[in-house]
Amino acid sequence: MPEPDPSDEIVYRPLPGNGLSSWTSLFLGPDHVLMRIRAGWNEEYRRFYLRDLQAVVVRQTARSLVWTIVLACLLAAVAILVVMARPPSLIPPAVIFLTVLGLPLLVNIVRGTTCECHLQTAVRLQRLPSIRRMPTARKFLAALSPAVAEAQGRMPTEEFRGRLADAWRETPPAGPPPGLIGAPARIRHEEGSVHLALRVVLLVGAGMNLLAGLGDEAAWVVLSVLLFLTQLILAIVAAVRQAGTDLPTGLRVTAWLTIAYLVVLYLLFAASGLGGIFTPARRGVASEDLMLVSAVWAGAMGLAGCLQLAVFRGKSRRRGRRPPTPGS
Amino acid sequence: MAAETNATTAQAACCTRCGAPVPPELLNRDRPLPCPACQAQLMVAAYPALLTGPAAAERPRELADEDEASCFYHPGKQAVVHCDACGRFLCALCDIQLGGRHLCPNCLKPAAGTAPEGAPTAASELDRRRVLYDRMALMYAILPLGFTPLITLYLAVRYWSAPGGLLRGSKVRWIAAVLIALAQLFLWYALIFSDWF
Repeated sequence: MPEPDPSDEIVYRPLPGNGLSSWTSLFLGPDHVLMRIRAGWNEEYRRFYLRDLQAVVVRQTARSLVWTIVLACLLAAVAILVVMARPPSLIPPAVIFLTVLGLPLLVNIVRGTTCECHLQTAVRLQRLPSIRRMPTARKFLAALSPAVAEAQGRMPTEEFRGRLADAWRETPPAGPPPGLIGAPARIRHEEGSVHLALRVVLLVGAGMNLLAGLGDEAAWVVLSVLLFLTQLILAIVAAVRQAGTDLPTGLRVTAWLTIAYLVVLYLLFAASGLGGIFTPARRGVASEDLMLVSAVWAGAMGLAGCLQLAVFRGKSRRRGRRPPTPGS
Repeated sequence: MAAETNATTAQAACCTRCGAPVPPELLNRDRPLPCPACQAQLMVAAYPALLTGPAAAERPRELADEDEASCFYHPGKQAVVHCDACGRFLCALCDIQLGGRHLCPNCLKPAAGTAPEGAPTAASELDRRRVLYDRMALMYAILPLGFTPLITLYLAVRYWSAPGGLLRGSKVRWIAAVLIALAQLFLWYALIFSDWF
C-alpha cells in the first residue's frame, strides 16, 4: 500500500471545551468537526460534517446550582459549629476544611452555569461531553457557526425562522425520529404530591422546633426523631420520583437541598452532643441556637416549596387547557 | 448527476430533555429560553440543513441502451461518475463522496491493504481509532520495575513509524520515552553492578 502524502494531512483547530480533565475533545477540520475520545492508549474519532449539522442544542442544567448549594451548606454548617463552639483547637482544622470546601465553591461559581450540549444531524443526536458550562458553549457556538455558515450558506435569522415555520405548517415535525443515538426518554407529568407532603412536614418540623421546651421533653424528643425520619424518607422518595418528570428545576433542587439540610442538621446535633467540642455550659446554648437555625431553614424551605408547587400546578392546569403546538 | 432524488422534509431541533420540537421563534437566540413542553432552558443554534431534512437517497438508473456507460460493480446500472482513485465507472449507489472526491467502495479499504494507487490519501478521513504507542512506551519508561525499559525499547523499535494520534505529529513522547528508558536501564545496571567494584 503506498504511503500517504504528508501534504494531505488534515489541519485541525481545537474548539473550546478541551480541558485537561476532559476525556473527549473537539476539533474543527476543513469540512467537519472531529470528536476525539480518549480511552487509555486508544483514541477514537467521530466526525460530523459541517454540511450535515442541523443544530447545536445547549440545555442548561442544575448541576452547578446543586453543587453550590451543597458546598455552601457544608461551609455554613462548619462555620456555625466553629462560631458556636469556639474552642481554639478547632480553628486550624476548621480553616483547612473551609478552604477545601470554599475553593471548589469559588471555582464552581466562577466557571458559570452547567449545561449539556448536543450536536444534531438528520440521523444522529450526539452529546458533546467536553462542553459542560454555558460560557464554554457560547464560545463553541461562536467558533463553529461561521464555519457552518460557510459550508451551508448564510441565511438571515428571520428568513430561516419563517421558512422553517412554513415547512412545519405543511408537514408538522414529529419530534426526534426513532433510533436516534442518545434520544432522550419521554418526560412524564408529575403532580408533586410527595413534594407537597415533604413541604408540609418541613413546616410542621419548623413549628415544633420553635415550640421546643414548652411541653414534655421526652415526648418532644420522640416526636422530633419521628419527624426527622419522615422528612428524610419523603425527601429521598421525592428525589427518586422527580427523575424524568416535568417538575421545575427549583422544586427538584429543593428536594436534594432538603436531604443536604437533614444530613447537616444530623451532623450538627451529633456534634453538639459531643463533650469534646462543646463545654457543658455552652451545650444548651448551642442546642437552642441550632433549634432556631433549623426552624428558620425548615420554615423557609417549606414555604418556598409550597409556593413553587402552587405556581407549577397553576401553570400545568393552564397548559392542560391549551396544549402547546409546535411552531405556534 | 442523473439520479432520482426523494423529496425531503424540514426537520426540527429537539429539546434534549423531553424530545419535543423546539419552535422556530426560539432558535438562534443569544440566551437560553424555556422549552414549551418541559420548561428546560434551551439555547439552540439551528442551521439551514434543518430545512432540507435527511439527505435523500439516490437511486441508480437502469441502462437505457447498451451503448451507455455502465457501472463497474453493477453492469445493469447507468454510470454517473468515475472513481477518483481507480478510474472505474460508478453508478449512484457505488459513488461515495469523501472530502470532495468520488470513490468506489473498493478504494475505501485501506486497512485491508487492497486499496489502489491514490486511495490512501483518504485514510485520515476514515480513521476511527488509533493506538497511541508513544504514550504506552512513555508509561512503561516511567514505571520503575526493571524490565519495563526493555518493553519501551521494544515498542520504540517496533512502532516508531506507526502513525500516532490523528492530531499529533511530533516524536517528543517517543524521544522522551527512549531517553527515560535508557536512563532507567543505566541506573539499574549501576545499582546491580555497584557491589562488584
